[in-house]
This record gives sequence, structure tokens and C-alpha cells, in this order.
Amino acid sequence: MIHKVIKKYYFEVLCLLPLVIFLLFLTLIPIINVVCLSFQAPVPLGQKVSFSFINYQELFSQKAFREALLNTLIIAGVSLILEVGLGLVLALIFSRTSGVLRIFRPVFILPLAIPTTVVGVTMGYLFSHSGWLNRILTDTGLIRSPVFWMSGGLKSLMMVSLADTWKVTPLVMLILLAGLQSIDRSLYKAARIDGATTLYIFRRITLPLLMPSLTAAVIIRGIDAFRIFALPLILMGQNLKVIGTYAYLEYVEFNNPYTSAASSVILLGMILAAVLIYIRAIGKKGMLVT
Amino acid sequence: MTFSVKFPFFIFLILCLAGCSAKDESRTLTLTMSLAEQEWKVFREDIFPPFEKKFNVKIQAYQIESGQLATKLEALQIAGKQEIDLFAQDNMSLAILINKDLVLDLCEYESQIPQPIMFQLIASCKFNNRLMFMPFRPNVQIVYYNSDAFTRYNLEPPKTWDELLKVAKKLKELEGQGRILLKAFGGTPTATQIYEFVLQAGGEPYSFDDAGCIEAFKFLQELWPYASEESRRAKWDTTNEILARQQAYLAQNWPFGITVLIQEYKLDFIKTYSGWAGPEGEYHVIGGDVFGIPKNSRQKTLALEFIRYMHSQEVQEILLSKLGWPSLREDVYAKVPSWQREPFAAVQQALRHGVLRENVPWWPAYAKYISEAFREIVIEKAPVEETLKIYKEKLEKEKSLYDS
Amino acid sequence: MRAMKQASFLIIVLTLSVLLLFPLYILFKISISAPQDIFTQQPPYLIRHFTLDHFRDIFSSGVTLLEPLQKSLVTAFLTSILSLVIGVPAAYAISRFHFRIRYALVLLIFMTRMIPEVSIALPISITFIKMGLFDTTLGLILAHLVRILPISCFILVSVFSAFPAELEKQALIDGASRLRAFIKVVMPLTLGGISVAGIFSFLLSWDEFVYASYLTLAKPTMPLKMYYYIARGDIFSSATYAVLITLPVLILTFALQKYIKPDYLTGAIKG
Repeated sequence: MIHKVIKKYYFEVLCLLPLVIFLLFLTLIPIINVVCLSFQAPVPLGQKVSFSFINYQELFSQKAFREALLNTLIIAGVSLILEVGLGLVLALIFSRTSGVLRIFRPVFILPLAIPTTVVGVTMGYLFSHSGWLNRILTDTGLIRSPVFWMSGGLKSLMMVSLADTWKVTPLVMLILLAGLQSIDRSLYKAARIDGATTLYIFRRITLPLLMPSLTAAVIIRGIDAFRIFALPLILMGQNLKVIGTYAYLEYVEFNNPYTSAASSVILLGMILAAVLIYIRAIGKKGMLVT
Repeated sequence: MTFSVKFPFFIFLILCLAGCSAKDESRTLTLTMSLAEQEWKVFREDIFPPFEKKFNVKIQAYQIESGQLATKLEALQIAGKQEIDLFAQDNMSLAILINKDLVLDLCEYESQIPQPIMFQLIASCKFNNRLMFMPFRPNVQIVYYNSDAFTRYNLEPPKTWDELLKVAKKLKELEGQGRILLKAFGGTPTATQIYEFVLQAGGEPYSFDDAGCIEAFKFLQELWPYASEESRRAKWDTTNEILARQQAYLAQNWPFGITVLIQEYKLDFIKTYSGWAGPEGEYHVIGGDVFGIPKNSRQKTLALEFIRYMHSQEVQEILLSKLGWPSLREDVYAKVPSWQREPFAAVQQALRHGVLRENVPWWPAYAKYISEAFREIVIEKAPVEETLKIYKEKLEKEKSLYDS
Repeated sequence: MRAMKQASFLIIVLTLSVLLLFPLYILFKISISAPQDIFTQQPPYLIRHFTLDHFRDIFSSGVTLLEPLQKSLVTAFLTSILSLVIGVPAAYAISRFHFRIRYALVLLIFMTRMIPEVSIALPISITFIKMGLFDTTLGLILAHLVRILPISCFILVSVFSAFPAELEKQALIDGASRLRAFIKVVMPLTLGGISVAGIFSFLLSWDEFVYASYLTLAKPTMPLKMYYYIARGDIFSSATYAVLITLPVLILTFALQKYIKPDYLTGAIKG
């Protein structure tokens, strides 16, 4: 029975095989291990392992972790909105321009070329107390005294979100651009001939046809926004907690692989839930339209 | 079917061949350190060749940042393919190596350490009274200050807590913002700084809330309003940048800043001295690097020979005369490079008041809680005694996890 | 009316450019400014004292630049090629399934990316080290692929899903095999999307740090090498390296501009 299926679909199977082998053996197994680890009570090597929720209890009892949860949600939300918004605007503009403005396109991709560590340091130059952002704001008279971006709390969350947005908007722009390219121009022409306004065209033609790319962008970036780790660590160290840095520090600094695993699993759960909610919300049409 | 299947296989084969490199089986010693480029130059030109010739080996030396060593060693050890034979590591980052059981116990080789090496340095390599590392390089923080600014305002570099507070207040008054930098970023830099302040107040840092600790925190609370705003992001690397940009006129940092600020950037307004004393004296934490041998190192004997070589008088003289590194041995005298003379004097002076931080496996937890206590007490003005007590309890709870 | 539209576009693009480019401008400025412009409390907005010393210093110690640059380039390039070689067929196959299976599969593939690096970087690195791939380019490429394939697949599935199935059906009816239909009909028209996936893979691999720190020793990649300068607070070297690291990417995107054209689908689909 199985080999009849394979025979019929041999093309598909062959296409999928490398990917499946690669991902299955290399990632799925470690992930399952991490999940198992998170449900084990910490015991010295050699002793029998037992199923327990103690790591999760431990995490949720720590104020720092609950703070990290909230921070992660806020940063992810703000970053996503900014990235997708800006990326969409840029993609729309670039898809409809020609000649001169085209030159700007590679320039907008540059932030992606800068390694995250350098982005962190540069953002440090911008957001420090005597940094460029404060200078520009005070020189133009927008604020009276410099802002403490790095003092923790909402301002620092904004700072990290902005830094992440800066680096990643080009990515969103590229994905949406690719999606916009595959929309047939004759549809626009036909709609204009029928007298449709730009807004109508956007809502009824562009947006629905762009949905697959939009979903791709939101999911790809959304997942990474939740997992954010390098920028908060570089900019704020242990002063701004997000789950990504929490898992990292638990493992690398405090030698606690169990709580680190539990944090990772919690993050995994959060992201999975968010993705499923999103998919539910946009319905069948939005996902991967034919 | 044919083309698109053969092609990827082909690529894969080529890549496999590209990936496999023939391993050279002749004697090599692979070691890792974290050094500046000028320092690497001296090692490669003056220190490695005699050893290579004497023992007929090739030394492969690589740079690894202190934060990345533990994870690399762990990966190599679990995979059973230890590629690193010997490493040098910052002595503030040793706890994780012990906790993950990555290092070879060196108790039996304690006798190979030459007599003239200062015994406190040997003590600093012990965990639970077992020798787990070997001394390599003692280091201590010195204080950098902006001599232009100090001369302009007719100020002297502060030698006591009172003077420090006075200078901070005066600078803030004259310039409208704080110009004294405290390392408030958190983690090990902040913890080390607090450690020194507590010692200078006569306290026992690991006790967390004894009289000395309370006095130190009270002083820091008093000092903070006059400190530079950049303190929040000040750690070892950002401090250099802040000093160079003249956002702060006084800051304590490790001597590598000398190479960056004085030698590379040639900033002649940066001067150094050993630091200040508290009510109970001048104390500075001795940091530096130590040698370690990974548990499954392939060249244990050779590594030990290299360590012995590094401890020799000849090599110590080279390190002192070419790099300005204060020596491990008490019997080494040499002339320091001219641009280093003044900072070196500062380093020597600071070392004279040097204290070794006791090695404990729960240092990361201590650093975490004392930094948070710092935030709450010094920056957010929480009451000193109560807050310290709360964090002390948290630390005690975590300490119990380290009993092994 | 048209002109006004173009003008308003121009204004928006310019404003966003300035905002987006400002950090890059800062880096660039540092890399070509004399120390006196940087080491002062109020550095000027514009470049006042120009110097090429920093670049000269880096190039004179030529060895330290070329090796990591080469390693990063080779790794990123091969990673992007492999990600397409593995991803394109797989994504195409997935995109032709019933949509429920499609999104279950894609979600499953993507789940591998939902976990923070730290938890699985170690086991994955250990696997590669056991295979003898420590400090090899191949090992690094494979490790990068682990993180990049899900994204690349995701984009490609979107691209192929948006491609109307009628065109292939047409080709199949005309007697072509599945493979020919794919190569001759689908690929030329989805080249834009495929190159986007390729560029992404390149950029993500270029920027990757975690696996590079686990799996390299003698030959670090550019991000790893730059971390060294950053960790010492060395302003000029970090900034200069940062400027240098953007050049290959600029060149690459300029070169691939032509594949991201809007005119590809004009006239291909008859109404």
C-alpha cells in the first residue's frame, strides 16, 4: 500500500526528501529532548529522572520571569506593527516606481547586512544619554532634557523595538515586494478602466492577493520577534528581561539547563498559540491562497 | 528526474570533500587565549618560537572571547572531540567551567609551579581547595581620568571616598551633569565594583548585608546623583568609549584601556592612577587570566610543559618588557615600554593593594543579585538594610543548588 | 496628478531613507573621521576632518580582513544555493497539496524555528562535531541551513502557492513531464520570489553568530571577528569593519535587482 502511494507521488516524495531528512534528524530530535528536559526534576547525573512540573513552577514564581513574559509580548507586538507597517509602505512604493527611485532599493536592504552585534553597538551610540537621538531631539527643540532610554521600563522596551525594527524592516519589505510582483498588472488596469479608486483597488485587489506574502512576513517576523535575544542582551544586559535572554542566561551563566529548557518550551508554546490565533483570524483565504 | 537529482548529489559530494580536511597528526599544541592584536604579535614572534623549537611542536593559537569559551568547550567535550589542548581564561568567568565540569584537576602538578610565583595567585586558582587552574597573568583595575578637565577645574584625582564625592559634586555643579562613571550595567562588572567598595568599608562582600556592605551601599546611594548618566551602560568596553568621547572624566577600568586609549587613539588627556581608599583602606580586586586544561585534552603533558615555560623567568621578562604585564614572579625586573610607564606604575600600585576574590561556584548568582540590589538601592533609592536582606535570602536559596 | 503622486512618493521615500540610513551614516562617519571629531562631547553632524587612516590600518594588516570575509562570503553563498536546491523542490511539492496538508506541513517545518537558539544550538553543534565537522565550512553551512531552511521554504511555498496552477496544467496537458513543466513554466515566472528566498538565505547566513561561535576555531566568520573589536570598545575598528561588511551585500543586491522586476508576469496570464 505504502509503495503504491510512493510510486504515484514519487516526484513529490523526491522533492521533499532532502528537506525532511535534514530537518527531522537535526532539529526535531533536539527539540523533543528539550521538551522532555523541561519536564524533568533536576537530579544529579545517574539518578533516575522523574516527570515533574517543578521547573515551570519555579519559573512562574520568579517575578523576573513574569516580567520577561510581559516584556516579550510588548516588544513583539510593537516591533511587528512597526515592521509590517513600514515594510508594506515601502514595498508598495517600490513596486510602483521606476528609474530614479529604484536606486534606493539596495540601500534599504543595507540594515540586513550589518551583524546584530554591530547593530546593538550602533544603537547604543544612538540611544545613550548623550547619544545622537537625544542630541537631535534637543537640538531641534522637540524635548527639553535628554531621555533616559536605557533606564528600563517602557522607554527601554521602545528602544529595543526600534532597534529591531530598523534591522528587520528590509526583510519584510522584500517579502512583500516579491508578493506584489506576482500580482498581475492587468488586474489593476482593468479595475481603473472600470473607475475604481486607489483605496478600493488596494482593499479589494492588492490586499487579498498579497495575503500569502503578508502572512509569510507576519509569521516569519513574528516568530523572530518573540525569540529576540541578541539586541536586548547587548543594549541592556540583565536589566531588560525577555524570554530569549532568560533562557540563554539560565543555561550559560547560571548553569541551569532545566529552567532554560522550560523557558524555551514556554516560548515555543506562546509562539505556537500566537500563530494559530493569527491563522484562525485570517481564515482560509488568508493563509496560502490558490 | 535525472538531472535535478544528480545535480544536488554532485554539489553535496563536492561540499563533503571541501569539508573534510586531512588532519595533521604531527605534534601540535592547540591553545586559545583572549589577547589584543599587539599582544598576539609579541606571543607569536617572541614567545612561541623558542618553545616550538625546544619541544619540536607546532603551536596553533586562536582567539576566543571569554564569554564563548565555556560553550565551545562543552560542545567539544560532549561530542568527544576535544580540539583545544590548553586555554587561558578570565578569572572572573571560571565558575561556569567548574560547574559544567570541563576542566582537568591539576592538584598533582602544583609542585611544578616555581617558588617565586606569588602564592596568592596560586590560591586564586583553587576551587574547594583543589587546584583547577594555573596562574597566567595578574591584572587589576586602575582609574582613568581626563587630565585636561581636572586641570581646567583645578581638581586632584580623588584618593579617598570623601574626595571622590567632592570631585563628583563639583564636576556636576560646574558642568550640569555627572562626570564620574560608575559601572552600573549589571553582572560581573557591577559586582566586582561593589566587591571593592565593600572591602574598602571593611566588610565581607559575600555576606551580603554586614556592616561594611551597608556602609558601601549607603555611600553609593549618596554618590549616585552626582554620577554620569552614562553609568547605566558602563562596563569594560563601553567605559573606554565613554572616556574617549569625554562624556565622563573619571572611570575605573582594566588596563587594556591603556592600549586602546593611549596607544591606539593617542589621547594625551587620559591619565591613570591606582584609585581611592575607603574608610578601612585601599583594596582592589585582582583579576587576570589563568590557564586551564580541558578535561579530555589530547596533549596534557605538552600543555603542562607550556605552562611551566610561561612561568619561567625569561618569558615573564618578555611579558613585562614588551607588553607591560605585571609579573607573576617576585624576581622579575625589566624596563617597561615608555608609553606604558605611567599606567604601569598605577597598575603596580593597585596590585600592592590587591585582594583576591574568593572562588565560589555561585559567583554568577551573586553577581546577579548584587546587581539587582544595586539597581534598587542606589538608583531607585530603596532602603538599604531591608533590600539587602531580601536579596541575601534569594542568594542563599540558590546557593543550596550548588552543593556538589 | 501623476506628478504629484510621484512627488509625494519621493518625499516619503526620502524621509524614510534618512531615518533608516542615519545609523549607517553614523558608522560611516566614524570610519572616515579623524579622532578629534569623535572624541569630543559634541561631535559634529557632518564630517569635518576626513581621514582614511582607519581603512588603511585594517588593510595593512590584510590577513585579518580577508580570511573572515572570505569565510563569511563562501558560507553565505553556498548556504543560499543549498537552501534553494533543497527548498525549491520541497516548497513546490508542498504548494501543490490540499491546503490543509499544506499549512500543517509548513507549520511543522516552521516549528523548528520557534525555539530559542540556546536550547538547541548545543545538541545540534554536538551532532556536527561528532560527524567530524568542527571548524569546517561544510559544518557551518549545514548548521546555518538548519535555521534558514524553514524560512526559505516558507517564502517559497507562498511564492508557488500564488502561482496559478492553470499554467502548469496547460503544460502537462500539452505532454510535458512534471519536471519539465516545473522548469519551463513555473520557474521562469517565479524567479523573482525564488531570488528573494535566495537573498534572504544569504543575508541570514551572513549575519549568523551563534553557530559560528560553536563551530569555528581557526577560521572565524566576519560577525565573530567583529565581535572581538566590539568587546574591546574599539570604536574605529568596529565601525570600519561594519562599513566593509556592507559592501558585498550592496554589490549583491545591485546585481540581483534585475530579477525582482514587476514586468515578469505581464501578459503571461490570459484572462
